[in-house]
Amino acid sequence: MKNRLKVLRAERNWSQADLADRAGVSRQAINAVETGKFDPSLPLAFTLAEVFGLKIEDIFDPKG
Amino acid sequence: MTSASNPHARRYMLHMLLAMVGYTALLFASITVLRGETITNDWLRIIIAISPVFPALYGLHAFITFFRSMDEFNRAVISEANLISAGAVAFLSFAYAFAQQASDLLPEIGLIWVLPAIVGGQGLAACIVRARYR
Repeated sequence: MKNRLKVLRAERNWSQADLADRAGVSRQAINAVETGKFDPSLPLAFTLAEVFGLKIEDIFDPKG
Repeated sequence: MTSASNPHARRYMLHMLLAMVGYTALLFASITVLRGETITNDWLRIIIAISPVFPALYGLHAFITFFRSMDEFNRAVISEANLISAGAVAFLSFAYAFAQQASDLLPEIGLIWVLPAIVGGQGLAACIVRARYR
């Protein structure tokens, strides 16, 4: 699934580890989601949306 | 979150170390007692022989607790690795048993190797599965 995690991180100058700390997951999890190789669960998608202050659909594109 | 900085990982390593120390101590103790030939009751000998399994089960409990503390990505990796390892050991032993029954060429392999094969296979499979997500 395509997503804007990398762009959103870059806008905030966050590393993958920074985002992982904020979301309460491992850096590997962030990397796997960001590269589109691992689809997050709904709770994790909500957490990531909350961390960025956005809606899920502003971050993830299910058609991607 | 599998690094040593993770408190769950640190707790897991501590409990696993305790399990391994207990396993080693009971293994040597049970071998010493059983070789002594002082205990002749078969059921007592069996209980002494399997005593190292109990600290090993404590290690399994520590692993399950650690698994539950992992995030969903790491749980997915470990679950897939366990499936691959258990499946590989099951089907290899199944095939080996068929081959062994058909010929005298192959030696008998003890069931004691099943657990190390699953644990070792899980570690190897976890590396392969994790590499797919990089």
